This record gives sequence, structure tokens and C-alpha cells, in this order.
Amino acid sequence: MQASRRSRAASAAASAALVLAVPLLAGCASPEATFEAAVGQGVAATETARLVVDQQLDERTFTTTALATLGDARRELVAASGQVAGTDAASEAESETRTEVLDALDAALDAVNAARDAMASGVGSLEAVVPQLDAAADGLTALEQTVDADADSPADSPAGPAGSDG
Amino acid sequence: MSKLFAVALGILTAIGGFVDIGDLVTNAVVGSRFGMSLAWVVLIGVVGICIYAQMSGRVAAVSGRATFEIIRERLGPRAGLANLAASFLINLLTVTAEIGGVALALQLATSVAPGWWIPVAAFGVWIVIWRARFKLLENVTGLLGLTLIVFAVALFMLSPDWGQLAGQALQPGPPSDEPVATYWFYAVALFGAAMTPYEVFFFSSGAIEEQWTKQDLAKSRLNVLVGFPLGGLLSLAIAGCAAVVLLPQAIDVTSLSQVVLPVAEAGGKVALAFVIVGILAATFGAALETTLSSGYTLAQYFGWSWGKFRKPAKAARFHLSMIIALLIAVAILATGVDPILVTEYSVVFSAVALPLTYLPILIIANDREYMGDEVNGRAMNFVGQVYLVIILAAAIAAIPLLIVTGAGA
Repeated sequence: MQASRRSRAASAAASAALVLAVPLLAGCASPEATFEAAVGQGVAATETARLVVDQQLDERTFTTTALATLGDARRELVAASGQVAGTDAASEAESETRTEVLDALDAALDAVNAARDAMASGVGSLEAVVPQLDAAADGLTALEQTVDADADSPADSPAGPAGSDG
Repeated sequence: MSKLFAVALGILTAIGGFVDIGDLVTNAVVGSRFGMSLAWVVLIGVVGICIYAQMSGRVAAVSGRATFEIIRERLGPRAGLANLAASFLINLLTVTAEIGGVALALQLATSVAPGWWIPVAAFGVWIVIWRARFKLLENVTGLLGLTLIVFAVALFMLSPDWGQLAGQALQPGPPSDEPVATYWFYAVALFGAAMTPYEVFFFSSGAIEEQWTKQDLAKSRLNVLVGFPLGGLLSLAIAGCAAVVLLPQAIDVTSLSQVVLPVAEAGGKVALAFVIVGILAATFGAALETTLSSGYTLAQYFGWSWGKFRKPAKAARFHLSMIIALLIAVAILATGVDPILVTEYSVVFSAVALPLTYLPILIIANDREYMGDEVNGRAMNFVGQVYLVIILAAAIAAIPLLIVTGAGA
């Protein structure tokens, strides 16, 4: 009876450990992997914003839907910036990459905010936001290739995975 | 003529009711990251749900009792409790995801933050369950859910390279920039989304609500064998739209607003209006079904009086358990957790719980004491057992893949 109870307690503890392990392991990503994921997230959010702004200009979407889409894109960019900002750099090169990624994500966030302002409150013109979004998306895409190369290069990796606060 | 109408209505509601928030999100995520290379999983999942849904419908129609009542009686209270615990918790997670889905759909229509819509959605689900007749709630949401056919229309309007889509579907495997483990993680998630346990509980309990007898078996088979595969085609159309519009632009789907982008791209505001109505109906319908399934599973296990065919006062604990399930779902969503994340976890944990749901159905469908001459034939048992092996493999792989891939990140 006691053995059965112990076994049930052990299996409950194992299940809890498994559920807890997911975020913990996700938090153990190397800085390169964190940067790579954040840039990918930024590209997706910025391209989403670009697509929905095009649709709004062509009157193919509702303003309510476009605003919700831009709100989601902004949330993704803020989350990506938070991940990168909370990552410790283990070398000068990583520190530089972190700054570049944060700058690119900030530029994308500014563009998405400008699109939302233009759409929701008529602050500025939506057409004028398009080049800003294009530039932000292009900047992130170019950075994606650099970060991908860094992540794939073993020479740039530190001896062990540096922790992330995120 | 009225019989023909009833059959057509049943098939149409089966199509419209097949897609829920799990199917919507998982298919769009998969399409935006892997193209059509996981289409084979939808195919396997649809065949699986057809086999087991018609089996559980047959059990209910022949024995006159719902699945959970028999599971407890046939397998004993302990095995029944394990089955109940797993199914109920997964179902609760699915209720949460569906309520969140309703709120997100309303956000697309109004741009008001989903947090404001969550209590409204939960209240709407409760009042419909409390007041509306079973047939009415099933038919209205199922028929409105049919507007999701706009995904298939949009796919044609996007004039994709059909050869390329077919090529992706016929050559399964991850794209070069995606790890193999992530590919298999989403294969398991897609399988879990297609074979969600609540569909079977709802189907068998619905058979009792509608007082099916042996005479209704042919109609129920038609509903399942025609309606579900057509619903599966809708799932493929969702993935196809994402593969054509979102994948080339490196847009990985993380929100419901991205799921509708291809439809707006193809058909403008009219198509967008259809898809928002469809998503609202599909998620609201699934919220009703999952909430009812919470009440069904508990009431059937504990032997409480249950059913929409009874007045609420005559099935008080059944109704109270559904209210509590809804309140728990609202409380979870009130923490600010992303409903899409809840959806992704719900489909993966569904995969984990699948053996506990489907093994007892196979056992009971072979028991002459309950089924008489309507026990499974050899061919059905063979296919059912093959599926149990697939289900077991998916259940075993789900948690390790979840950890290794960081939930598909």
C-alpha cells in the first residue's frame, strides 16, 4: 500500500518536473540561439505588419482586424526585445550582436507603432509608414543571415552555454 | 425527403463542427513553417477519428448508454478514474483554449482586447447551454462553421503552384531550416488536434441526447464518414493558405490574426467577414461541446443525472460542474496567458491522453454483453489496433518532443 503511494507520489513528481522542465530548458538556450530566435520572431512580426498595412491600403481588410494584427505584431516584437535584452553576452562579439539585434527590433517596433497610430488615430499617413516597415523588415532579414551564420559557426561559441535571464 | 434533409444536415454540421481552435491554429502554424509536408498527419488523424467516433457512436446507439458510464462499469472504478482524470484535465485545457479562441475572434471583429471578451464568451457559452436545445446549439454552430469553407475558396483564389503544394505533401520531411525534432513535434500536435478526445465523448453523449437507436447507425456512419473527411479537407485548406501566403514571407504563425491574413489577401473584406464568422462559430461551437463534455464525463463517471434533454433542475450537478469548468477556464485566461499558447499545449497534451480515451472504446466495442451482434468485425478491430499503436507512439513521443524542441520553438 505504502509502495503504491510512493509510486504515485513519484509519478506525480515526475509529471510536475516534466512540465517545469519545458520553460527551464527553453531558458537555457545559448545567446546565439536566443538572438537567432528573436530575429526570426522580429522578421515574422514585421512582415505580418507589412502585409496587413498593404491590405489596409488596398481596402482588403477591416480596420478592426488590421489593428488587432498590428497589436499582435507589436506584442511579438516587445517579447523578442525582452528576450534579447535579458541575455548575458559572453564575449565582445556577442555584445555587439545583441546591440545590433536590439536596434533592429526597436526600428521594427517604431514602424509598427507608427502604422498603428496612423490607422487608429490618423497620426501621420499610412502610406508614409510603408517605407519604414520595408526598411525595418529588410534590416532584420539581413541581420537574420548574420546571426544564422554566427549560430552555425562553432568558433564563435563560448565554451559552455551562457545563461539567459529570460 | 425529411430523412434526406436530416442526413444532409448531419453531414453539414459534422463538416462545420470538425474544425476548432486547435485545428485552426495548428494547421496554420504547420502550413507557415512546413508547407504541406505534414498533410499526411491530417489524413491519418481524420481516418483515426472517423474509426473511433463511429465506434463510440455505435456503442451509444446499441447499448443506450454513453462511453464513460460503460468504461467505469466494464473496467472498474480505478481504471475509469484514470481515464476520467486524464480526459477531464485535457478537456478543461481545451475549454480554456476555445473560450480564448472566441475572445480572439471577437477581437478580430472589434479590435477590443480579448481580455474584455473572455467573460462575455464564457457567459454566452453558459447561457446557451442552459437555455438552448441540444439539436439547436449543435446545428446552428455547425452550419455557421461551414463559412470556414472560405479557406478552400481563398486557396483557389490565390492561384497557387499546385504542383509545388502537391510536391510538399508527397515528400514528407522538414524543410532545411527546421530541425527534425520540431517537425515530429508538430506531427504529434497535428495528430492530437485531429483526434481530440472531447470529440468522441461529445459524439457518444450526443447520441444519447438525440436518443439514437440501431436504426440511426447508418445515418451516424454517414455523418462521420462523409462529414469528418470533408472537415479534414478544410484543415488542409487552412494549412495550404498559410503555405502559399505566409511561408514565403517567413511569417511563422503565433496569433489568430495571422491565420486570417491569407483569406483577406485572396478575397478581401467579404472573405474576411466570412472567415471571422466561421472562426467565431467554430470556436463557440467547440466551447459548447467541450463544456458539455466536462459535464458529461464527470456525471457519467459518478452516476449523476445528466443530459440536455433533462431540465437543469433535474441534472443540477451536471450543470454545476459545467459552470465550474467555465469559471476555471476564465480564471486561467485571466492570468493573461496567451490563448494560442494554451491551444498549442492542449493539442500536445491531448496526444498524451489519447490511449486512455481510445483503448476503453475499443475494448467495449468488442464486448458482446453490451454490443450484442454489433461488436467490431475483424477488419475494424485490425484497423482499430493499428491506430492504437500509432496513438501510443504519439503519446509516448509527445512530452520528450515538447521538451527537446522547447514546445516547437
